[in-house]
Amino acid sequence: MNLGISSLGFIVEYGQVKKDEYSSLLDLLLDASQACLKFSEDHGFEVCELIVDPPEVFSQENKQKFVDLCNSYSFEIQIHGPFIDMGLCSHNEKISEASVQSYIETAKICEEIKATTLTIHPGVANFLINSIKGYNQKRLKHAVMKLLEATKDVDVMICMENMPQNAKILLDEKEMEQFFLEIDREDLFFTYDTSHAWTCDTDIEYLWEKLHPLIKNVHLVDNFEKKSDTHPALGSGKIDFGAIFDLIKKYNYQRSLIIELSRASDLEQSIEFIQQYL
Amino acid sequence: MKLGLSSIAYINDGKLQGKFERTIDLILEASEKCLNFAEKNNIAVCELLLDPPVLNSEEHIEEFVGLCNSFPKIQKQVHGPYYDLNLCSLHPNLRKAAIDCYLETAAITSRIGAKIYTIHPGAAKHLNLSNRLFYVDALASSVKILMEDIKKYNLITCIENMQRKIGILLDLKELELFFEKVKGEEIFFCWDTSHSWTNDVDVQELWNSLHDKIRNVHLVDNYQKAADSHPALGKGKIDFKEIFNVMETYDYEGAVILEIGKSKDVPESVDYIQKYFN
Repeated sequence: MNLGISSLGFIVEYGQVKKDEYSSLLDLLLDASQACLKFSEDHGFEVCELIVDPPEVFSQENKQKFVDLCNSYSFEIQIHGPFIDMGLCSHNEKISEASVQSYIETAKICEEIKATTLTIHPGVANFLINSIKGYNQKRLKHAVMKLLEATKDVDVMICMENMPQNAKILLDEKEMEQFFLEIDREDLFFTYDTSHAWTCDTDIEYLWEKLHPLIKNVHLVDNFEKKSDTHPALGSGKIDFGAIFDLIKKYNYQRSLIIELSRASDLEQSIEFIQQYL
Repeated sequence: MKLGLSSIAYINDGKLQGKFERTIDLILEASEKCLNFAEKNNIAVCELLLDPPVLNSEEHIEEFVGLCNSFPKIQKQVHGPYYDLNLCSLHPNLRKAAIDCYLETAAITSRIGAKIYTIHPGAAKHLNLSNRLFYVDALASSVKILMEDIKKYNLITCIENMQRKIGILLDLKELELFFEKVKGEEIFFCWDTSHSWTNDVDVQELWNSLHDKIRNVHLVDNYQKAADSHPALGKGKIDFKEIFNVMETYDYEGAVILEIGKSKDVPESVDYIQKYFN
């Protein structure tokens, strides 16, 4: 397995601390991505995951700047697609379609930087009508099928991530199992987020038993409480990383383990903490 | 001014009931109940909420138009959809989807002969980004595009102030900034009493500054700043006496819409508010 870091901490921290230094959100995205890449290089990591949110890379000019930055580094880059406001599962057809389109465009960026993995989110099941809650799941399935069809010639592994409880969709082991059963395709994979699963009281032994062949990306995230997802330094929360690494080893998981924090300044402490399990 | 009733209470009842074969039946049934109550209780105006936005075929639209036409004495307004819609999103694809959705709803508003059309700005929720100006700029950009295309429907389009947790169009300062950025556009203001209260807005100052833009008022009570539960009027902490005094000061002649969370609280709320009309 390959330890790596996410650019999330740099985006959040720079967005708060250096807020007046950026004349555009593209500057924030590029600055945070570069810092993440440089940190990874300096620490000898072989992979890093860049988040393309704020979603400033969807114009040709901006995209090229991002592509050029990524291609100036030689190690493996994964992409985490935009997720704020995105709603593949939205009951609003236009929002669902727009989200599909954004992920198609993101997949094409992956191809240009030779990214191996693209992580996507399902959105939030906002409209709590019992009779149409299933409608969110149907919309999600429809949207994912459309995305997979549109990207079938793009050489990237698309991974759907499990969600925290406040997203109200793709929550626990049963819902994830059902989702992948219904999709029933060989070109959709799974990004397992440790904190999201914990907030939903997920049976991770069952989850790994049933879905381990599909897990192609892991987000290592700690957490204090079930109702939020603050991404603190690893080791400072309640996640049982010992149990998680037992499963990772049991199923001989060989791919990326991405440390995803809300503050880049917590990276050193988190890397040191997680070394004991590697 | 004219007393009006929103269909939101009946939509919420429908959500809990959750026994609709078609999602359009939720809209039709809620609208009919709202129009019926208004007719029986001499309420002049109904504001019909079109969320979920399922009137997406000519057949569905005709059903809705037919229903509205069967209540010729009631003046209709429309509240556009808002779940998942985000005119202030940092994501251009999602802003465009929201604009398109509001345009489609504007066409339906025109078809039922309504004039007042209320929209929401969306939510500003990007990774704790400190510089709020990016959202106001995105919103202003969306509204300018929307207003250009919406002209043909000859509506009075009103954007609503938001409750604290939404993060955009909260206080007077931000509302003034937004209206300055869209100066020259025919966009008006729907003032929500509860949303203002959650942001500690000075009602006198707000009306002093924006009274010439206010074309719609949502009368909503509230208990706590962090939520917006739409209880029966008179049960919460909103000072309706001050509100009616201010509306009288500025000779407000538009609709005041009761937006109640549950239909069982509607009769009590209508009784409570009558004293301010005498």
